[in-house]
Amino acid sequence: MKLTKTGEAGAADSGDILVSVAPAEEPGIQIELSGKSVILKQFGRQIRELLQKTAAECGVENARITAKDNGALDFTIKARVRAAIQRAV
Amino acid sequence: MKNVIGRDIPEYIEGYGEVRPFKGAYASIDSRTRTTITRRSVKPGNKLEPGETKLLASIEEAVKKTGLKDGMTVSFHHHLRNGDYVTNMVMKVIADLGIKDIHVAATGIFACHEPLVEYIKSGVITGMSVNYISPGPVAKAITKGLLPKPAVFRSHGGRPRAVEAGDLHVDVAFIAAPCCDNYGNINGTQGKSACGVLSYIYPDAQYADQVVAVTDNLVPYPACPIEITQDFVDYVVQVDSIGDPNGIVSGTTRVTSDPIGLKIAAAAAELIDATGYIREGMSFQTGAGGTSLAVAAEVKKRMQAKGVVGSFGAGGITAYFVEMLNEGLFRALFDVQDFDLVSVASAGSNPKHMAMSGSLYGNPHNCGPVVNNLDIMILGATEIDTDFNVNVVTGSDGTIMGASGGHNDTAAGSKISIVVTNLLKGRLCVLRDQVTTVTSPGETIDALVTDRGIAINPRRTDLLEKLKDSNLPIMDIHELKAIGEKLAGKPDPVEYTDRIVGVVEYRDGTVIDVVRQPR
Amino acid sequence: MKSILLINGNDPKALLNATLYGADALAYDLHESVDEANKDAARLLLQEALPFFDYGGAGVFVRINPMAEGGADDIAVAGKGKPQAFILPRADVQSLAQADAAIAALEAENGFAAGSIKLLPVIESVASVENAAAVIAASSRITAVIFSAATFLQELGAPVSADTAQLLYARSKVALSARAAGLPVFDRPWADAKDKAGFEADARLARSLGFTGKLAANGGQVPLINEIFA
Repeated sequence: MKLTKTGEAGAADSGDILVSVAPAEEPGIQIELSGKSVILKQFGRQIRELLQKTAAECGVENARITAKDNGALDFTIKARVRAAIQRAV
Repeated sequence: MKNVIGRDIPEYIEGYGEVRPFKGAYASIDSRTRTTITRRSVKPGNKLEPGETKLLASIEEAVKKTGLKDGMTVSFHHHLRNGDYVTNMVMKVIADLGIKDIHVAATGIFACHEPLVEYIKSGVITGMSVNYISPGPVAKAITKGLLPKPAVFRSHGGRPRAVEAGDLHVDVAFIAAPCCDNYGNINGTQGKSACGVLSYIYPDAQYADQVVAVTDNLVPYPACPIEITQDFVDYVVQVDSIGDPNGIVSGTTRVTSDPIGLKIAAAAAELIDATGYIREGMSFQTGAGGTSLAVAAEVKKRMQAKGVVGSFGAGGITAYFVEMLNEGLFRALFDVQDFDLVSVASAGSNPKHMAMSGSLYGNPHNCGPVVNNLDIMILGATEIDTDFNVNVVTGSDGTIMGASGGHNDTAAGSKISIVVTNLLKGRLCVLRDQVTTVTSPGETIDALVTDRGIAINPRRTDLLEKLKDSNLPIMDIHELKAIGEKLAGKPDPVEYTDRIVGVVEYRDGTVIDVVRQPR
Repeated sequence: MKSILLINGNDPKALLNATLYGADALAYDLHESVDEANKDAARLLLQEALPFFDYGGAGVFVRINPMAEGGADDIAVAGKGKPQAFILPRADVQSLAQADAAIAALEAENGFAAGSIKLLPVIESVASVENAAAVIAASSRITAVIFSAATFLQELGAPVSADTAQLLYARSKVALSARAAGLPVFDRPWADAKDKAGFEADARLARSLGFTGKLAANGGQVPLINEIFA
């Protein structure tokens, strides 16, 4: 899937995650994840993997994903990445 | 070495000393020798000359008079909470005089004590011990390992025990005094910085080598009523202000309006009722948080419905407990601190509203603290594990964010201790395989009431029997953990260095756990 | 079923806590709670959320937008999460037929059993109130009926007031039509969370008119609804 612009979805609210997806020249999916250190220390690896996997499932090959987490659960992370990608097409 | 609850603790900790390992909540209740101290005699007047004047011109003069020097321990109380000026003022004088290597034995540390971080960095403060610490700059500095010696975390009962036993020897106690006369009689309930009872510092008045009262409300002799009497006070210093009233008490403490908090509270009250603890003469304590107060509101309804009168309410007092006292639902209150204006006023005027010292509250090594008479205790938790061990000291990433306060004292003493909490806090499940830092051992925690289910400690077969026909959502604690983990996922383990930044003492002075610096 | 709790369909925290209030059913809202710019994200959020949670015995519904305002997209996208029913606002005979067809397509596309997903019309336009019996008969998927007041008063040009007399005819008409068809019928939500007395009086009146339950605008209203309609 070809991205043409930056798409953003989600929110900074508690329990949500603000995801921005932008087209990238270099191959692969680059992820920049920020959030509360107490969550990133224990779930950072899993959140990155989920972002990666969801983008791949959407057929995205090259992208830069910036995510600001505020305690989102997996269903929210997946939904927000999908919405951001949909808006970036 | 592993202690009886499987926590890995060295036999000797640099900057702390020999470790007495935790052996069980009720394992060390035996006779104890109290420490002896040497106190100065204040020179009396004779028929021709006046006696010694206790009133000094400044904190600096007091520090010099006491002979405070490198390596000593100074103590403070936290009844002025996040409005306290005295700790910062005294430490500034100590720093300006070039004194170093000070141990700060504060009953509590708040965000307002941020200036202490500079003194930690410059070597003025090298050790600390607290029974309460709020998440903030000092807690962060300790987590980061800036303090050369590990901080010691005690309970509200454990600290007076340590002071009386000589484990915590205080060279000079600086007592913030909302009301004081020129001969050192003190109360906490009068004046522009009134904060209520001064319970946590009574042991220091009795066992410190020297005692300095710092007041912004010097009244003609004698102050009345008197909480801490003149025979324990060496010097009196008058300053412009000892605290910021906005940080000292909240205008109001109130029951939560969050429907989930109310649901947890209603379930906790039903549990208390179903297990037979709503009865004539019952005693009851909660924290001052919104959900805890909501439990009090639900318990009150059930007391009224049954027409029972309780013997006492205890702990940190709020307007809600004062109201219950005044409505005749309790015969008395035992008070260790006052959270709002209504409770401060009540503490100073109602004889049924009694101050209790930290030792009377929770010290296991005396002829019996009030927690021994407590029926029902409502507690909070940062984490709880499947053995019912509770952590209130660190977050799940090892960041220091609290201390026992009365947690492990009341959990051990009460007939039923109930932890009330949301199962999920953000993405973090409160229930873990092992808590990060044990504060209260699982053998003292009887029930966990959450928004997604209730677990009863399997040791309490008596409770399980009484609850067997209950409609409450009672389940095995592992099952409850599975519900939380299904939503939040299973956390990756946090990595720690070998550096010990905190020692958690159980109320009896044994070491129940240590806090290691996160990587 | 007595209480149906409305939950903002684009609020992850509200979705997480939805099951905690003891509601008989949850109505995840894509209509009034979600602004126009976020309908797409909210549909995806519900698609992911619905299979994620364990709902126990609670009903799981999605309140879609009116068919003329994106309702079909709501059904197609959020519907992949397999709710038990859709709630259609401003329902009339025509829009119910459209919704029925869209749901049939959803079922066929995703391998859900034909006819398994139900439809709850919100009867709130003046015309639909007056033709309530015909509206209720418009689709075989209809298993319950909901009354709402705001559109009704707006179309009449009547001032919105606390006087429940102005709604008496409409409520009775909808309640009786539903009950005559053998269906449960739910009264309007009470938006002001602080006005507990107003809410309780409104619920008791609805009960007396033959409603079998009420929508809850917030979790705190659920226990009283369950009690009044018990």
